Amino acid sequence: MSSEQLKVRRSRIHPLAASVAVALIASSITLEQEVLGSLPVMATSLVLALLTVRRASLIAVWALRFLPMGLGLGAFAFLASGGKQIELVPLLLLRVETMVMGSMLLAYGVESWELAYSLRSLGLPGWFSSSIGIAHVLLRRSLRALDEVIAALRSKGLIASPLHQLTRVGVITRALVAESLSSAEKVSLALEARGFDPEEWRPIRPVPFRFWDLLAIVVAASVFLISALL
Amino acid sequence: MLRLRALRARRGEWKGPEVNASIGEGSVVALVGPNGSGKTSTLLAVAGLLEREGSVEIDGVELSSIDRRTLRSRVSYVPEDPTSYLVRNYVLDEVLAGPEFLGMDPGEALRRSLEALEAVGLRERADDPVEHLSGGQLQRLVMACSLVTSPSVLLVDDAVSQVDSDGRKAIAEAIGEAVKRGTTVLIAVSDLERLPLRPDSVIELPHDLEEELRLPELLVPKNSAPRAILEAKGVRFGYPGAGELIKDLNLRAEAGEVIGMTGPNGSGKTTALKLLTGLLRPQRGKLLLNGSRPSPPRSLYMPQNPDPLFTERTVWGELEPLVAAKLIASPDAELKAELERTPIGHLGAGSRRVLAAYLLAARRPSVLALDEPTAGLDRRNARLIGSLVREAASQGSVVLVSSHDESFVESVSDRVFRVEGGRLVEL
Repeated sequence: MSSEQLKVRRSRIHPLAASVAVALIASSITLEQEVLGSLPVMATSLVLALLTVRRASLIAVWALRFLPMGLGLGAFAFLASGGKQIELVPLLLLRVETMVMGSMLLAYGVESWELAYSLRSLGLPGWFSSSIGIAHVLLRRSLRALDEVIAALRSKGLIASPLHQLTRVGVITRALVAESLSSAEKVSLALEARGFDPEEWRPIRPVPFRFWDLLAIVVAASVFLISALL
Repeated sequence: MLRLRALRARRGEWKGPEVNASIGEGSVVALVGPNGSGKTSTLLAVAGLLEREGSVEIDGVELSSIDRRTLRSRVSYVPEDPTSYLVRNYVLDEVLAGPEFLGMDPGEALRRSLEALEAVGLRERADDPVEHLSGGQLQRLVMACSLVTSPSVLLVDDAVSQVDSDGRKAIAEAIGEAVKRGTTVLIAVSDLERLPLRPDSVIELPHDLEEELRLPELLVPKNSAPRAILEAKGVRFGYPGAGELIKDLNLRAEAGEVIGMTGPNGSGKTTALKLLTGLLRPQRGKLLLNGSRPSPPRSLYMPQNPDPLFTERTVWGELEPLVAAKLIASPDAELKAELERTPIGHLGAGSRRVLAAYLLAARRPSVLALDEPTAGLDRRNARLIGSLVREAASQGSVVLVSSHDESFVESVSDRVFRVEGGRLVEL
């Protein structure tokens, strides 16, 4: 037994580094007004996600799930422009996909309570830091619940083909919301049962910074500067 | 000393059974009653996690006058569903959470956490993600989380229903050690035979609090479907980052057969069921249902936690499409009205499990897989599940049943396999 076990970091990227990198990527892709300029930002987002999450299949699944949203937003923008700006379709698709890949750093690269520990180490109040950590726990559960919900709906014949996952978004969303609410209730009871008090709560261990965290911020900041200046 | 005086749990209008008891330090008392009799609510009320009438005293002090942090360090609650207790993503972190919330010194918290994991046989899994644990391993983890604070009162809610025999022994020993140190244990169970340790006394709850869930009968199909043949040859599968779990799965099962699966926690029973129903894709090997890959709705899987299967608010909402499709009999007006006013959220855990199995069996799948279908069920509900299994098989389904309830598996199965080393070994 060693106190070294209290120094082990679970997050693949430091939660603060992930937050900064995602914010920079989001800003960069929002600044870009052209498809060609958006491509390097998306590529950066993809590379950071691949190096952090290390599961290409997972990234592909989420990119596909958000494909209809990107296309839908693009189509809406195209129609709103009076049918004159067709380039809005790929541009908005790239924006959505870039955000999805960037968000994966936070969703899959960061351990929920280490996010709370990191925020607390910045001097933020315990109730705020722990709320963000708990919200992250619920997010992770909802991501897992989505697969369970889809499997359940397939079992009941409500989703008979992969296409139905796109066309029956309403049914999936309703089931997912119900499952997420139930999950939130369970987490709340679990925290209460284990004596959690956000006002008194103190992190039990530090979350060390590593070279990769710094590199991720530098890469995201470089892309942001290029997008802002060019 | 734990003293319960005229204790009744309350949830809105509903009131649980009245319980009176004086439980001495270092005693084990069983709270026995069928599904829906109010065991869980009573334990939650004792833990101060649910409204109540009457009084709960610990060493002569009324629960409501104990400050929150002291209360939580002295009273631990172990829920039946382990997933409802977990707040972290790694095994060691999960056990550390309790001491951390109670402000314990980090070194002491770590020492106790590792000891608690050792006690339930999970020391080697300390740095694993929680999602890599099986249902039974999660129940052991939750027990470690509850013991880590050395509580004076331990409330256990049928928390060994998915645990294998080694795990039950480990949990019984861990509770036994706590009892020797003076912990008072109140353990709820629907069947005394399932208790992992011998109680000093028993509190029996009345049997008539929840009405039996009445469901229309399943209809026999007019057109006979082709006879299902499920074949698996050399199937291999592993989760990312967790190594290969299924190493060589071979099975041939025909329509009308009930295949039972047992095996220790984490051996891959759930994964095998998900593969055989097409929810997971084999990484190698051949898996065919009548010549093509099994997939819903031809093959259906009931998970250990069946709640995601419910997408409607009421029982009738779930049944209506089945009546319309003539898969189940149309209920008479009285039963229909009863089902319409029964929200699924108001059903007990046992009734929800029975309803989930019924909803899947009614769809007459070629393959029906039930994962721990009798976990936490009383004898009446376990018999209902047994009847559904036999009915589904008689209507031409291949039924796969995975459970630690070996007597149930043996009673319903034509063949029983043990999942061992990533393979199916016929017993």
